Amino acid sequence: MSSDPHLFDIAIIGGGPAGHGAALHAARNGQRVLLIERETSIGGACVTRGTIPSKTLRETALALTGFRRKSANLCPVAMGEETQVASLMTRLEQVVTAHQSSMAAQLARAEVTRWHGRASFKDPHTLAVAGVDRNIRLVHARFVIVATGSRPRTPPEIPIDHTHLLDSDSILSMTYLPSSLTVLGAGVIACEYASIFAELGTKVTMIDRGERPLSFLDPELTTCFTDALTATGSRFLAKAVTTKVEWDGLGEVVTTLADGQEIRSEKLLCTLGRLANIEDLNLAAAGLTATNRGLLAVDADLRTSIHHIYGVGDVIGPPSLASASMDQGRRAVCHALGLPTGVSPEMIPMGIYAIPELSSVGLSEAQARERHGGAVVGRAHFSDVARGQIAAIQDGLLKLVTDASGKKLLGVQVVGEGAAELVGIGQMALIAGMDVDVFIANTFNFPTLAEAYRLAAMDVVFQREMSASAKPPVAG
Amino acid sequence: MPPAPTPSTLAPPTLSPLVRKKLEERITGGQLELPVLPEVASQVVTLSSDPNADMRKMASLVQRDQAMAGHLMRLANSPFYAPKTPLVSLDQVVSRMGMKKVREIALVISCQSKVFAVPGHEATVKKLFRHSLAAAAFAQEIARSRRWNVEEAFLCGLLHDVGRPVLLQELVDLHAEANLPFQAEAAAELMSLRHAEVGSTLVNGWSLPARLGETILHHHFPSRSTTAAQTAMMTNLADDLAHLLLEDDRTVTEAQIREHPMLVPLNLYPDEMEALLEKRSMVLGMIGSIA
Repeated sequence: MSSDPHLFDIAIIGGGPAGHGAALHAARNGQRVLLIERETSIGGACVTRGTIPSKTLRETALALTGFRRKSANLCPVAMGEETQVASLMTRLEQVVTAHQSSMAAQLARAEVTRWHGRASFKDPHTLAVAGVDRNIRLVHARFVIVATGSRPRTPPEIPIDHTHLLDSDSILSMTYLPSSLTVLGAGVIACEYASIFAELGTKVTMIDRGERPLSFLDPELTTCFTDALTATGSRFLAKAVTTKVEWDGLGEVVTTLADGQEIRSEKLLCTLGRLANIEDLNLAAAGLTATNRGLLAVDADLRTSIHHIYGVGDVIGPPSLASASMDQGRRAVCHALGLPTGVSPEMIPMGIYAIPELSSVGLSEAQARERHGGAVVGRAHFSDVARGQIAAIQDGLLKLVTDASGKKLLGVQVVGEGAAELVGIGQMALIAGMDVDVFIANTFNFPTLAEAYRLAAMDVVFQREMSASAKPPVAG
Repeated sequence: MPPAPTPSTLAPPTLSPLVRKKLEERITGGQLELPVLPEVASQVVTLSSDPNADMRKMASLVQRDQAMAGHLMRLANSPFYAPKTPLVSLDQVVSRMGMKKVREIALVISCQSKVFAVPGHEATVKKLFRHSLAAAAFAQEIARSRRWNVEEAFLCGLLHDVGRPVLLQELVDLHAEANLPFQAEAAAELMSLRHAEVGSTLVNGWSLPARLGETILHHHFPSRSTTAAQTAMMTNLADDLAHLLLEDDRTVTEAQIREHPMLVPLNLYPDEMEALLEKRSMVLGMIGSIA
C-alpha cells in the first residue's frame, strides 16, 4: 500500500452514467477529478449488462418484425427455436466498444484521472482503492461522489443459477432463444425484456402482484403495452403471488402461484428490484449508514448526511434511469462547486424501451388533476398520422396534458415506436413554459410522427372551445 | 505457476526420430486420425442444431445405441442432474432434459467411452477425463460469477484437453507400427506441446461452435485469440483450478492460483477467487458422480 494519499478535488466512485456525468462536469469546471471504476472498462451496468445490450437486442427484434410488417409479409421472417441470442446481437460488441471508447475519450479530453479498483472509505475524506491485483492506493479528496450503481436483487426464495433461472445481468448470456420464458416482476426491466423476447417469438408469461405493469405510468399507456404483449401470444398475470420457483433438475423451470397454478417455462427471468452497491464502501468509516432499504440517503441537493459526500444514480434509489443518473451527477457537482443547477429534475424524461416504446415527461393526467385541480387531455393516435400509416406504426398514442384552462402544457406521454425521441419535442416546450397552442401555430415536417403533437393540441383546443361555448353568457 | 507449454513444430528429442517425423507429417498434413464422434453422438449434435427436430426423433436416435442409451439414463438420474423423481424411460429423459442437455451428455459419454479410450493406458485417460470434468465444472463457476453463458463454459472445460488422448492414441499406434517401445515421458511432453492444436481441429470437425475450437486452440495463450479471448482466459484458469483440485501431473498451488495471471484480465477480485476455491468439494462430488 502506498502511504501518502494522492490528492484530488473530487473523487467519484463508479464510472456509470452518473459518475461519468459528474466527472465530466467537474473537470470542465477546473477540478482535479479521479474516477474509480471496479470493472475493467467504464460505462457501468448501463453499457455492459443493461441499457446498451438490451437495446441492441431490441433493435434486432424490431428490424425483423418491422420488416415483416412493412413488407406486408411479402418475405416472411421466422426464427427457429435454436436461434442463437448472440447472433441476434452481432453488433453488440461493436456498439459497446464504440460507446465505451467515446466515454473514455471524453474523460481523457477532460483530463479526468481513472483508476481501476474497488473503493472504500478510510475516513470521510480518504478512500482506499484496492486493485484486482491486490495493490492498494489511497486518495484524499475535498468532495466524494458515490455513484456505485446497483445490481439485481435476488430474493432468497428464488434460486438464481444463471443457467435456467436468470437475472437481468445474466439473461443475455443465453446461447439460444428460449421457447418459453417466465418473467417475475413488472417494472421497466421486466417489461423491456418480456416484450423483446415476445417479439422474437418466445412465449412469455409475466407474473406480478400488481394490477398492471409499469404502475408509475399513465394507465392508458400501460394498456397499450399489455395489449401488444398479448397480441404476440404472451400474457401478463396480474395480482399473482409467486409462492415457489424451482428448476425441475432437467428441462423446465416451475413457478407455482398462490392459487395453485403452475407455470412451466424453459427459462425464468427474475426482475424483482435492484440493490444498491454499497457493501464494499465501508460507509461507517465516513460516518454514513445505509437506509433500511439499503440505499444511500441524500437530500434534495444529493448530499448525504456528511455534506461533502454526495450520492447519485441507482445507489440513491428510484428513478434509476440512465438519463436521471447523468443529470444527478451533474447537479451534485454544481452543488458542490456552488454553481447553478439549472432545469428542474421534473423535466427529465422517462423512456422505457419495451415494444412498444413508452415515454413520459412532466405531469401525468392524474398528477395534473391532483396538483392543478383539473386537466384537459388531448390525444392523437398514430393511426391518424400519415407517417404512422406509411411506416406501419399504427398502435401509437400521444397525450398532451394541460391545466384545467386547456392552455398551459403540463406533461406529455407517448407510446409507440419512436416515443422516446418524440417526447423530446414536448420536453422542450415544457422547459420553455409554452402553451399548447405552440403546436398548432408552428409547422412540423410532413409526413412525420411529430404531426401527432398538432393533432393532440387541436384536440385540446377543441375541448377548450367546447368548454368555453358551453359556459353561460356573462350577465350585463 | 509452472511454465505453459510453448508451441513448437519440433517434438522432444527423446522421441524416436521415426515416430517424431511421422507424427509431424500427420499433424501438419492434416492426416491425423481423429476419432469421429460415435455415429449416434454425431447425429445428436446435428439434430440438436435442427430447428425442426422433435424430441421423439431424438429419443429414437439415442435408442439405437444401447451403450449411449444406458449411459444417458444413468447420467440423467445421477446426483449431478438430480431429477426430482426417477426417470424411467428415454422419451422421458429426452423430453424433460431438452435437446441441448442431451447433446451435452452425449458429448460427455463419447469423450469418456470413445475419445478418452486408449487400450493399455486406461489409468492415464481416466486421469485426463477427470481433469476435463473438473475444468468443465470450474469453467461453469467462473462463467456464473462473470454472468457469462454457463453451458458454453462447460463444453470449453470438458473439451479443452481433448487433443491429449488423441495424440496418445496416435503415438501408441506409431510406436507399435515401428516396433518401438512406447516412450511415455517423451509422449507426455509432445502431448503438452501439441494438444491444443489437435483438440481444436477435432472439435471443429465435430461441427461444434467455432468459438469452442478457438478457445481450445488458445487456452494456454488466451491473448493470442482474436475471437475467443474471454472464454480462453476462463478455460486457462479453470484448467489450473482443476490441476490444483486433483493434484495430478501438473503441480499448481493455492498460492499460485491466488496470483494467477488470468485474474486481472478476468477482473476477478480476491474474494471472488476465494469463492471459486470454495467450490472444490462440490466439483469433486460432481466428478465422483460421473467418472
